[in-house]
Amino acid sequence: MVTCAFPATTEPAEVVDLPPDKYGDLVRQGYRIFTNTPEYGRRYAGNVLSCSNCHLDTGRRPNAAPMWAAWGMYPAYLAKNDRVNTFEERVQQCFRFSLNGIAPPLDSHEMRALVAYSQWLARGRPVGVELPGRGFLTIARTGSDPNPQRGRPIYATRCATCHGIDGEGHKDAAAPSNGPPLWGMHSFNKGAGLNRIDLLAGFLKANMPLDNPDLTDQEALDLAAWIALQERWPDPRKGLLKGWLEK
Amino acid sequence: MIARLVSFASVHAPLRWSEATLRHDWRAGWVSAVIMLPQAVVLAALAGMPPEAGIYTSVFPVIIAAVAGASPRLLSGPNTAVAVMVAAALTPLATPASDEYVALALTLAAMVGAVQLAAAAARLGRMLDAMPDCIVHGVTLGVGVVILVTQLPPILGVLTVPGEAPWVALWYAAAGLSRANLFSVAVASVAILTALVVKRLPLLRGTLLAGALISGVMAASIFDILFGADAVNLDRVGYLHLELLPVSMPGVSWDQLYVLKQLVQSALAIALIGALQTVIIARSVAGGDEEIPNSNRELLAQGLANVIASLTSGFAGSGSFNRSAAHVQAGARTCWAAVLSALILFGLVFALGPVVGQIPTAAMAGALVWVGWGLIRSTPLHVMRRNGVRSLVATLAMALLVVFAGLETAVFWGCVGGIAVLVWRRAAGHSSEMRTRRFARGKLATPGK
Repeated sequence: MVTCAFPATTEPAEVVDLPPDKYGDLVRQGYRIFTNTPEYGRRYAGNVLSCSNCHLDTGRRPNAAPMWAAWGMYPAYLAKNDRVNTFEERVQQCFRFSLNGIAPPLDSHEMRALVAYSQWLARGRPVGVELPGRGFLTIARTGSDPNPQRGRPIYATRCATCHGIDGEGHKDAAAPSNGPPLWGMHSFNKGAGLNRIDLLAGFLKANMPLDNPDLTDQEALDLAAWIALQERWPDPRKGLLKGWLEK
Repeated sequence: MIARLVSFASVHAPLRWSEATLRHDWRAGWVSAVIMLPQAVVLAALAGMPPEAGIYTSVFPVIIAAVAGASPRLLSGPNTAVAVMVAAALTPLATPASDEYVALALTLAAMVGAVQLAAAAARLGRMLDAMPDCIVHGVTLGVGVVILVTQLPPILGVLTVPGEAPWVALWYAAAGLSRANLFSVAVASVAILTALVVKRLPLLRGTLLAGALISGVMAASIFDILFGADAVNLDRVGYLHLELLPVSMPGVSWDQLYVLKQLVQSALAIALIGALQTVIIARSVAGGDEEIPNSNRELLAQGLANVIASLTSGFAGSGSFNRSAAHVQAGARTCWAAVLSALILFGLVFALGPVVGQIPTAAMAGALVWVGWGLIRSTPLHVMRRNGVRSLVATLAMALLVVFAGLETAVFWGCVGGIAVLVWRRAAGHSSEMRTRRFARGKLATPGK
């Protein structure tokens, strides 16, 4: 068949051990799209980020928006677009904002594969229950406003090794420290959830530096403020006539 | 194989390749490439294939068919009726554009090629000449209706249930009216209106589809800038990823052998319709003494082209009437015009890839409405003028079968009817003059439209 060329080295045993049937194939394809979106999701991905760059540990790590916790909470009302969104629509938003690309159609192969993978990650978990570790941490008030100027030196000392001095990231997967780009043309756009200071700070507090998260609440907030201040693609929700349409 | 092709080529592209011939072929190559590019993307969508597959099918099989065929000016590649048949055959078996679907499409193309090659080896090409034209015309008319109806939901931005009968799409469209996406309707309208305008400009006639799609891309981009992509919410073709040599291997895995029976049935129907269309087109573009339509040779060329399609990530195709007509009008003289058009197209796609990726699904649906309407409008008149009222009735019956009973059933009963007529005529004893008369009729139909 055409598509047997895939890197066999990186797939975890659990994914490899999926049954060799159509369901197993779909989950496996979902895993590949999830972990290498620029390659396997290239039809719709608009930058070099993969789903697993934010949903760490291939979508399993608590407090890094794990898929097993998200699966059972949709359909859900989202203030982002003021309506009830299905899980598929939420995935479309990831493509449009965080991946700065084209939303995959609801009946597309990519969507089906990602839904199958998420459901597979959530097997055995209760549905409709707010599981601990869902989404990102919420940082309590620190009494001090997020200050990008305090975040700037923290970025240089703690983040730049992996993510680059200018947030450009390291694309070389073979390098020991290959962080994804945090801003610029190849990163998420201004509509992405992580462009919000509170969400990004929660993510940083729980997960960064990778595998050694030791930022204080204030450091996380300052850092998030600095990152949110950088140049990136505009928010796809905002058009020149946005206000007019909403009336 | 290569030696065989070279010998084909040397017979067919005479070595007297003057500067004038070269100039004509070069010009025709460009015209055909520009016509082909939008068709490649649109017909791939119609076949449920990724856009890249449409482009590959418009390059490698086109070259093979032109070099190996009896009519050097006949252009092959993706074909509307065949694309609809491919989708009808595969949609019940896999999700369109998924790896599984693509693998099945490769296998189907290989089977179609094998059937056509076997038929050519058995010298069945002459049978094609004797088959009544109303089979192909009925399928074309029916496909036109199917396309027109099935594009209504995507124009409204409403999802359908894949694999349902085509006329159910009307109901989906009506039921989805309340949640229609107005931007989608607007983009499709812009595409259709552009086609209407371009049709009236004689200089741009060949770029009708391209114009429709480009205007659709522009309308969608303007909406995105004005209202924001999130609010506009249009589905798009998606970024292309092209390879210079997209080698692929058809095959069916052992645990999927149960699909073989369905694939063989579909392959037989597609092989027949593809070959019949090619033969009819060959008759109508034939000009000059060296281009005597040789149906067996066309069958062989189409078989080779489909096998090549299955080896180069493409899908089944056949001769294309509108492309061949435009190709001849643009002054194509030898088969190298077709080869040039395929190569120019490939180059163009690499340059225009980013634009192609931005084509909204609604604009494609608008363009397809235009294609479907074209088939519906031209076919009955064409049949009436050439073959009379009885043929028209048979064509309409075929079309009804296509819409309500499915393509393969229609083709099967069309063939049964065709063979019955054939046997009856042979019994009546006027079969020998019939073929010459049919050929003369075919030649009279100039490729004007």
